[in-house]
Amino acid sequence: MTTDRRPTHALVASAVLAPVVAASGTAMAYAVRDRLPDELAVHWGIDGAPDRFTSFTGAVTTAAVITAVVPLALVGLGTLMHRSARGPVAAIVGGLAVFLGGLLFGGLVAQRPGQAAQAFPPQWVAPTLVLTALVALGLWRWGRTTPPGTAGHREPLPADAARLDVPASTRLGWTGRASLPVRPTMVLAVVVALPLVWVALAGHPWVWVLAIGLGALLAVTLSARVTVDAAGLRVSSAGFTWSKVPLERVASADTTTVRPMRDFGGWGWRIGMDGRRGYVTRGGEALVVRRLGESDVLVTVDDADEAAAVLNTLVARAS
Amino acid sequence: MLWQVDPTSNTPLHVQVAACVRREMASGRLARGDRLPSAKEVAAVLDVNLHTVLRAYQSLRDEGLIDLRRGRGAVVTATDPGGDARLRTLVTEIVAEARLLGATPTDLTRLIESEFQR
Repeated sequence: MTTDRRPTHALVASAVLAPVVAASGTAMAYAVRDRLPDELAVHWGIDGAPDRFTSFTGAVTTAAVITAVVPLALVGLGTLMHRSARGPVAAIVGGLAVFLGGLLFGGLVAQRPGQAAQAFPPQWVAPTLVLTALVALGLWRWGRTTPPGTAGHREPLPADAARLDVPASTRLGWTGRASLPVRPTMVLAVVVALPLVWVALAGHPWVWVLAIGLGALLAVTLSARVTVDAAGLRVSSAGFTWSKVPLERVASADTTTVRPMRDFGGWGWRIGMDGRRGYVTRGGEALVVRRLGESDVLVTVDDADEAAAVLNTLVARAS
Repeated sequence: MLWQVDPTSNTPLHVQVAACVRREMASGRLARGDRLPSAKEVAAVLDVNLHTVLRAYQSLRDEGLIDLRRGRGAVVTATDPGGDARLRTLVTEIVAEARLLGATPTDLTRLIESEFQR
């Protein structure tokens, strides 16, 4: 069996992209050098007014180093993770490189003598955000692996896998929810939103895009529906499907205890260092679905043992 | 929560769906204020008609166990869902058994009354 190299290729491409974006930005800055002021604004206050200036060379070097190095540090993290995580990491790295390039170099090359310099000039916001999304999406798609075929023989369900004692004619299903704890989430949302809204109101309107984006992400992550039925496992919220494991790809189901920070480095839809995919909303009991030829999928639900038993029963019937 | 229906059983499907909710209440896993999955979701999970689930939810509402609100879905309203649901579950089982044995409602009523007088 040959290993699917695409996740690795995508990660390498993203690692190359960061210095390329930095070099392009530098070239662009040199191309318009004559039109730029002698001293370039490199830092802006809360009110949107520049408060620190430096020479052309200094400003360009700083922008180039940040654009190249920050994404590369993430590439380093990506190489330590399970290989199935390389595609998603590549998407984040590539998107970040483009975003930093657009933000940092856009803020430099748009400056003109005698005009107030803007941190993120409006004419750069939309192209940067669109290109960031396109590059991230492209790398993510490139880095996706095709799961191995399940046609033909399949391993029988392990004998110790919990299942339900019901007649074969019974239709089975299970529904549950994975929800973030309300109070800590609200506190965190306010703590994050207040400074963002403050900065946005004070003089950086583009920060609204960031604040609204984060708010939308939180709203979608707040609570997910978890269903187990003859089609397999599905984790979805507000019409968005986080994970779908068709029944024919399920090897078995089990329960585990999750520690969000230690196992996944946080909450929400996550990829662990070991490649496990997880929808993690709290510590404690979780349903684990072992997939055929792919990493486990995990979701924090109450009564996970019941969900596992339903899934195992359905798998045993199908095999 | 666990959903199970047996299409080969004599018990109508909507009664079986309602029984799933009652069993969950009886075990204490559904408390007052908890929200049930939408009828559409349950219908998809069990591969039954949407109206079957709606009928089940309506019967639970008529028993005072849940409240159906437009846009909010089905919410558990019984003050003691466990107790109410346990009684209901027992009655459903007795009636199913009575049907199987050919006992009439009058027979059952007489039996229950005599049990009360003991």
